[in-house]
Amino acid sequence: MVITETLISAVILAVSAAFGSVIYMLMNDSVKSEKKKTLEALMSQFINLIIFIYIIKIILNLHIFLADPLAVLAYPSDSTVFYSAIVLTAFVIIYKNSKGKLDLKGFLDGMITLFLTSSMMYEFIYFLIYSDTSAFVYFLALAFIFLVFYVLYNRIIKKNLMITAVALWGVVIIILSAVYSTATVFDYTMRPWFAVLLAAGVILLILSAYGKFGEYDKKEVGR
Amino acid sequence: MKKYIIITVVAGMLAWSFYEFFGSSANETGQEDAGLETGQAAPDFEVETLGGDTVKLSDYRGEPVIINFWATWCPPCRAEMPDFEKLHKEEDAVILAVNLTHSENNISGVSAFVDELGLTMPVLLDAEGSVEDSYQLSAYPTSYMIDSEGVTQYVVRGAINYETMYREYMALE
Repeated sequence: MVITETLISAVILAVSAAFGSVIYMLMNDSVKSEKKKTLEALMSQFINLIIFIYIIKIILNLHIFLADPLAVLAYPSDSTVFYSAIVLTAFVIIYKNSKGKLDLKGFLDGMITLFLTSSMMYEFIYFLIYSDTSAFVYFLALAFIFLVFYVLYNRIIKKNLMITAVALWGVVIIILSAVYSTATVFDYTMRPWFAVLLAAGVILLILSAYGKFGEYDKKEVGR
Repeated sequence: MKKYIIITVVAGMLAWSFYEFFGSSANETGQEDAGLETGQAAPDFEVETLGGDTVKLSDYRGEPVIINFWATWCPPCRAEMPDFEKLHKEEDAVILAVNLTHSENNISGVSAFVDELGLTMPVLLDAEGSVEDSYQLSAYPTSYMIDSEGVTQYVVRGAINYETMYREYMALE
């Protein structure tokens, strides 16, 4: 079997997602059934993201798709497609939350934990395979953010912890873009403007889930 | 216990990455032996272009070069070709688009494709398949990104989008 970069990337992504799930299961103190439910909700949104990526890719290249469908499907999507798919997935999450079909607090907690740990593993493997310096630097930054997140997990108010992690990630992307002229997230180019927009969007979701003025939930700060 | 497992895993990853980063940096001596791996000098070749000129890879020493192996029957090759052309035009990138001519039905099909896409980068013809053999291709398309010293810095099997080719090309410079 021919090992193409697409296949390598898919395998790294699967390993990273599995690693992130294991770390989440180890970290989170909720009952097992709740954690499983959160992971299923995350997986469902991840599948939505992949489907949106393909649909948007086809729509943006409809004239080529009609003449040469394989050429479009075989071609890796770019950041425009990725950003659009993220925005659509965000709308689905907001819609599900508004209909009461999603526990937004648990979802965001799981999403941030999984994103940090999966990205960390992805960049680590990517660096080992391609000896890419920017992947190494991004991995170090993610490891730092994750360690801060982990050490403070259950020690400070969850809302503040998540906002800190998301804001730090945004700053890291801006710095990486300035130093290396480009930053990537799961091999997609992450432009500073979208990183800021994404971080701001996630922070707004955190605020809406936990309340703007931060009701102090003592049960969340137990360790 | 769980706490220590997580800390140990992250610490292990950090230690491994530091070892790889500083260990590989110390071993970088600019290998000159020809080979197909990154860090090795890309095998030289000499072929004719679609326009009838003769092109030799080693003639491009001193500037970064991208070698893209492609064929008209390969959908991902067709898909990424406009982006290589864009990189060639906008960044003045040297791209040698090596057509696997021996696998084509006829050369007029290659000419028609080049005209259809308005390609201005050099299209090289691997008429006997000798370049494909020397690069031991296993996927189509395959692209080699070679630095100004003639050393391969990045190999990609399968199609890449403009952002990736731009990023890797800029890393060569």
